[in-house]
Amino acid sequence: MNLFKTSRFVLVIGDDGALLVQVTGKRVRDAWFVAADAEEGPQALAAYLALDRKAPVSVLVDVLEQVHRDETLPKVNPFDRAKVLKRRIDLAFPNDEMKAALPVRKTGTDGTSYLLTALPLSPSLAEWLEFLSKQPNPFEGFALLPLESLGMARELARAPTGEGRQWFALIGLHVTGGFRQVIETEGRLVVTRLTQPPPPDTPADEVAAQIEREFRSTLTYIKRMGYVEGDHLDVVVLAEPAVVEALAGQALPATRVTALTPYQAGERLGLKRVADPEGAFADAVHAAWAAGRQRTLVLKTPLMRRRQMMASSGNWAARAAAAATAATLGFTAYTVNESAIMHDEIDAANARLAHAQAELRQAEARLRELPVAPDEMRQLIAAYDDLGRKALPLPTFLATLARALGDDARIDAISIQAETAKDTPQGTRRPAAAQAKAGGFEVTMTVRFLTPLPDRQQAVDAAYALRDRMRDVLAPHDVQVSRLPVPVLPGESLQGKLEEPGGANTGPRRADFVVRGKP
Amino acid sequence: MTVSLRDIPAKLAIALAVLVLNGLGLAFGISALLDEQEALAVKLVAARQQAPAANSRAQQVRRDIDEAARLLPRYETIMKSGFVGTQDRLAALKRIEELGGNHALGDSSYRIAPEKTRPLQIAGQPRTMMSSEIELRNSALLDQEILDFWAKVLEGLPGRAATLKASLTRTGEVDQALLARLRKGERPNLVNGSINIEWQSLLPRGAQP
Repeated sequence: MNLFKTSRFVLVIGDDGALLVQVTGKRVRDAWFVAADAEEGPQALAAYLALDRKAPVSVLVDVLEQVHRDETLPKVNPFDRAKVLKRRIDLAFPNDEMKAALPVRKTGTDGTSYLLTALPLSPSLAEWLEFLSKQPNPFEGFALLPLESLGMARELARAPTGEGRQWFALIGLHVTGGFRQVIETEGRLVVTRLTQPPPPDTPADEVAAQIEREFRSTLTYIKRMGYVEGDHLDVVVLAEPAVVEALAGQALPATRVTALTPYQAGERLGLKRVADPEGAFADAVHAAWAAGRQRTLVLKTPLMRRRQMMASSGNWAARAAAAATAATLGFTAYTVNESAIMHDEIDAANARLAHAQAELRQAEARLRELPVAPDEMRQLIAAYDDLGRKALPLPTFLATLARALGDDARIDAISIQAETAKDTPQGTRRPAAAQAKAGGFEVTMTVRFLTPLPDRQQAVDAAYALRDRMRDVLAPHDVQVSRLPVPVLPGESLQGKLEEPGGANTGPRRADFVVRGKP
Repeated sequence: MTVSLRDIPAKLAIALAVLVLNGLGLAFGISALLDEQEALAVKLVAARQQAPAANSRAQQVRRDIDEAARLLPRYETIMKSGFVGTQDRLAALKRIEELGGNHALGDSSYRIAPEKTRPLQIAGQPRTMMSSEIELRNSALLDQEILDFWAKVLEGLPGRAATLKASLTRTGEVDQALLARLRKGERPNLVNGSINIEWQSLLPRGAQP
């Protein structure tokens, strides 16, 4: 097995036998022939195919029964073309399983031209089909040698592309069948014929004469296909060296005749080892030529199509299964990995939790060792302090007040009362907002002025002056005059005996004050 | 010629079997894994939430312990003051009389109102606060005598006492007549005083009023 180039097998099946050619690149590695009447039949080639079980097998059928027919389809909707074409094929070859159509470019026609082709499944071909279906080598279907050899004659003739219509005829002697003639123009098959080979040991000049006769017969066909005198016609003949020499004496009706041995043909085509220099048969040339090219047309039986479809489905299903398995495994691995990560994270979180719980237990043990619970201490102190907030600062207040009174005023009566102790007008509970002011207090006092203040205005001024002094020393508490020495506050009636202008009251003057203490 | 089951390529059959196995694996195995992962996520969230809660609780406990050390001296002072205990009106009256004996007071009278109770919670336990209003009326030559007496009473009562209201009223003048009475050894009064005190105690745990 060549490690660097893939090899493939080309099996040329004819009416007289089959030739299996193993090709690697452009080199023929080996070739094996099995006669049609061989006792072992196709099985004779099984061992050779087993040399490279992965190498695909291309089959070139070169039998007499193959049928070709030109058809031109009318212009139809592109979506309907396949259906119309299938109907044409079925009408043309109602009894054949292997049939197909090849689109061709054809000048002077309206519509799309097709080459309809059919290959009857003869017992011999059925035997080959059965054999090939059981081999491990990939087998695509049957290709037809005349179609696969299109273009070879132009290559061998080395014909330049000229003006006007060019025709090419390739004539070769095949070990698997006989004389095969392939006539083409504009890259399409015009006609192909397979005729009996000359008997063994026929002299070369007679073989050359037979070739001339057969070609002249073919010429009558192609004249009906559009060939006219004056068209360029290149004829390429592949034959043994003696026949090649003998052909020089024949007057083939062609523009140019190129006679080559199969060996020379291989050299011209860049193919190696297609034949011995003295070899007469051109089958291997066709096989090597076709090995390096895409098949022009492959014919399959319906069963082959179904099997290939299943094989193709198997390939797609295998890819899908591989992808699905990879995805499943990947997803599983991802999920398992995620689970492992989560397990680790849970372990870490549990470790942190255990540590925190140990610290908590330790702290709670210390807490329990305390003689009194902190909550109890805190709330008992709060309850104690709550009462403290309501305590009246009487001694402090009196001491401060003395500074404001000075030497010219004296307190006759003073009453201090906590806010909470005050009765509400209707004896109802005090509102919550007022309760919040607990700690405030109210002081009412009657102050007597020691200095004589005979003038009413002087007395009023002295009361306001004392209020201002009290405000200074008692800030931020609110100090108001609730009764002046003379009743001139809003709402008060001013009454009494008329005296000297300016007033001449010699008695002590008194004023009442209210201090609203803020908590 | 037809296609039988035997014609199905081994590759296709194996691939289909693998696909079915994948489907089964996804349907059962993966779903079980996903269920487990969901359960793990719940566990993880719980574990992650519990640790900070425990840490927070431990910090709170430590703060309580630290605060307890700070509160303890004050607490002990309050406990020594007799704030926690039952109210004995006779004992209180006796104490007031003792305190009044040290001051030059006249026309003294008292009134101790029936105690009131108020429920409250301390450290989650139901407790009872007892409260009695004490009214004292006195007269004296100097207002300072009365003020000093009131201060002693406020400090000397067991538990906690606070002034609700107080008043001082001058009833006379310092004049020759007053001085004459003083020279004769009399003890005239110039000031009347009145004070209302709220006396509070916290009943010991489990004690009935």
